[in-house]
Amino acid sequence: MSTNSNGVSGVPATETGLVRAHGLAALAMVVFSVLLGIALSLKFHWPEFLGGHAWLTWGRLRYAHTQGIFFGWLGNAFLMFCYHAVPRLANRPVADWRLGWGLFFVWNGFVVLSGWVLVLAGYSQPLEWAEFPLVVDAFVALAFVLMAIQFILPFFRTRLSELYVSAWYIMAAIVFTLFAYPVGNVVPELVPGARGATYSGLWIHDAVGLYVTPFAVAVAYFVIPIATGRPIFSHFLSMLTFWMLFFIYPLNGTHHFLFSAIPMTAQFGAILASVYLGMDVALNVANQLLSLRGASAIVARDEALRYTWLGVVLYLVVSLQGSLQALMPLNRFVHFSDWVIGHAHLAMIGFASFASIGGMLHVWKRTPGVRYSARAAGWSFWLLALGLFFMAADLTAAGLVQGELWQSEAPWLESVRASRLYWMVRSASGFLILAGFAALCLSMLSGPVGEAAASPRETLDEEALFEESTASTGRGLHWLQNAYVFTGVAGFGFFLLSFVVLAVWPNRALEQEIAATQPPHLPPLTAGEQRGRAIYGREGCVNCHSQFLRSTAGDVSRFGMPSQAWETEREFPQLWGTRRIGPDLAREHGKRSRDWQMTHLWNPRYVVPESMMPGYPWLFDGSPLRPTREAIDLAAYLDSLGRDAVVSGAIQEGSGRRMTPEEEERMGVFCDCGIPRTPGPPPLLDTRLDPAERSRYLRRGSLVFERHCGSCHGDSAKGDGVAAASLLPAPRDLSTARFADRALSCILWSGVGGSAMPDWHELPLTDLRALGVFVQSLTSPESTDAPLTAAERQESSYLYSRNCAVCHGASGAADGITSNVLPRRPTNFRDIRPTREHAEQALAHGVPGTAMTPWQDKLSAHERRLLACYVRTLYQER
Amino acid sequence: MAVNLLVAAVTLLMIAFVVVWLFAPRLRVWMEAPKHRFLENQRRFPDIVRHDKKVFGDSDGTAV
Repeated sequence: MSTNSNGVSGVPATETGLVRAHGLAALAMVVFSVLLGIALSLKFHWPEFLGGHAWLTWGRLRYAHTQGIFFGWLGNAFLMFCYHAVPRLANRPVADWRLGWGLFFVWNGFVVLSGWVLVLAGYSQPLEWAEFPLVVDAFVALAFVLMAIQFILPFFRTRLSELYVSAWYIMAAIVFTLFAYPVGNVVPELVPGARGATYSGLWIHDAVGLYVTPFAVAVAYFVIPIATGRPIFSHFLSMLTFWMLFFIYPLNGTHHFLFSAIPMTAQFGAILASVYLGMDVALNVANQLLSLRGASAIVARDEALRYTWLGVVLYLVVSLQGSLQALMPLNRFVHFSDWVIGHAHLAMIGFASFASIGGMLHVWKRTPGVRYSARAAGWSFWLLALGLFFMAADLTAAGLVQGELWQSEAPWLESVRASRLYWMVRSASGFLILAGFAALCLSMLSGPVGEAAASPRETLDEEALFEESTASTGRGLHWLQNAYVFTGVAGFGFFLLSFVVLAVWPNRALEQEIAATQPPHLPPLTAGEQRGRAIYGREGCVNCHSQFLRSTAGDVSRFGMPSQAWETEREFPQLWGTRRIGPDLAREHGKRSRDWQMTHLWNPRYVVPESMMPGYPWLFDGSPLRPTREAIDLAAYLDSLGRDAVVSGAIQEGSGRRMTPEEEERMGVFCDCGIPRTPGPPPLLDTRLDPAERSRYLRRGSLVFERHCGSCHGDSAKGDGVAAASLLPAPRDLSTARFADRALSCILWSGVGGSAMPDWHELPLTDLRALGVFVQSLTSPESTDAPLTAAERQESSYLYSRNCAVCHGASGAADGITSNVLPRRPTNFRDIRPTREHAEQALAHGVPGTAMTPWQDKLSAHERRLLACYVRTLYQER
Repeated sequence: MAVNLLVAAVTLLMIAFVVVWLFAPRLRVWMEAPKHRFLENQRRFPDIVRHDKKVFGDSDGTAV
């Protein structure tokens, strides 16, 4: 045994320099990461905050925030703990102090700091918990190899009878993550779509479950007995739950993709594993809380123990919550909502951070030469607890509200509008959390300095009894001596099991399904669309928009046919997403015109006033009318989403290759045949109302118009909205035409093809009717034109049939022979009556953005006047 | 099938642990030994003492 840094012989040395370094790094990085989190939260209800800068856009900041918490904060906290705990668990120092400093610089320099710079600069992976780019992943893998050498080698000669549970967790976590990390980060780049998603799901859960959780649990089992002066309640129970954790946790991953195209048996297995996990955690927490029985006074006065205790309690809460939300009835309701974000924060702050802080403070107080303020530590505890409580409660409530609205017929924006207050509360709670971490910094940087006491404490006599009993027991069990064997099994063996069960086996079923259902000869993405896909990933669009339509009535009725496994078979990696703040984009093809997309990317609030999506002005050259190639590529990619299903005919009800019922049963595919897939034909919005009702609808219509239509059509409906300048054809001046009820119904329900006018079938029917009343109030139902003479009628009829009927149809019903092939259908004069001035204007100068060309060179002013009068006679109000 | 295997495997694992606990008292003692040895080891490491500077009212010279 070496002499430790305090000159006490007989105990292994502790690298206190590295303890301090990792502790201070953890503090610096958590403060920065929390600041990023606050910025993200503010942008939800203040989208222009830090807007306009690519490095500060929401998507990239989110990448930096999650990875900063994962690697920068928790990673350093765990390393700090390991440098203190491993010598005490192994009775040997860590492998090498020089290796330790190498690991410190690899972790903080090459992983965290470099990773931050790269993701903010736009180099990232659009994968949950794997956002740092592949070049950083290589350094992460190197760091874990160094960790294995540094922290596992000391246990080389440790007998199993000496291996305390914390050591089990530390070693197994390092070994498991060493294998799981490359799987989650590299494999989805090589295995596409649904098949890759199984590997992503494995890592999403194992990042938290088999990296963060084991270290946090190791901290709890370490701190509790030392702080209380008593051994834990049961080492047997701790071993039982250890083995259960490493067996069960990896099998949970597919619960992130329930109702997806992944085989249903894999989904059921993940749900079952999630429930078992809750039971395992309950046993684990019971063991830890029983270890604290009668120690409430110590919990009250020892800040480290207090943090650890609350971390343990929240471990149970968040795990039971996780088991619950893995059940299908709740999952279909809350998945993609803020409930999941609340769950993630409860886990990472409530469980992982609180346990880590408990370990950090425990270690810090026992490190000579550093300051410690118990009072500041106490303040940090209450600030963090309060902030976390508000955040978790707020996000859970927000998730329930969002889930409820998404199941209803309410438009998507209703959920955004309803969430705004919750997002503000979240921002406020973020400041509390920041204050808590600031107090934590104060607790570790101020206060009296600690020094090592002169002599170690004496051991208790009763320990000799156990020495004797274990020695006699050990003689018959000498074959169980090698600790490596068992922890290796836990780490590598269960990784292999999860790899097979969670990924390899479902992939085989998916391959069969894809082979059976994939339409042949689908066109690949163009080079521009591929570039656009990369931009989509770079800007973090996947964090707000899913591309994953589930086999649920809510998803199908709102967005369309569930995403089939073959649809993403060429996507490396898949961009399914795990959160919806904006709508799902899997069926985006053909929904928006190109100019709408450009205007929307420039500033979303130009076309969707209540949107909180950030703008991307750096994709343009000063104006939405001057997109760079990146904007064009991104818009092209967005329009490609769901194209394969349309092109192949799969999107049509009953057409295309479908699996037979026998094939579905064999592959465990969820049957979605009973779910309606289209919004149906437009209902007739009858605007005939008595005066009192009309007045009420008019007021409502004015409000709805201002909310949804004003940004394009202008608040006074003159076609001069803020987005109008960048849309072609331009939004209509609604005072230049009279619309029959059937025209309004069709336009509002289905939109106008070939233009930026979207469909509004998600709005309540009363709102649509009110809009109809409002639009009609802009014009008179009666025509004030002087009747045409017989000669004028004959001449105008001749002019019409010769020049206009080929598009507008013989009767003006927009059924001319060319009408079906024009992107923007010609005006139906039986449903829409333009004002005479507008008609003459259109005849003279055409309608830019449509097939209506100028006629002033072909028709005289007299002829144009006659035609304008003639088409107005075709109108039928009812 | 996979779900059935999973249920069976977890059940067997639990049963194995419980059987060991119930029918192998020597193994039970052996399994509990690490928690005592751990605590015994910790007592060999030196205490840390902080001298009161009354900056934030922390306790005076208390060993951790």
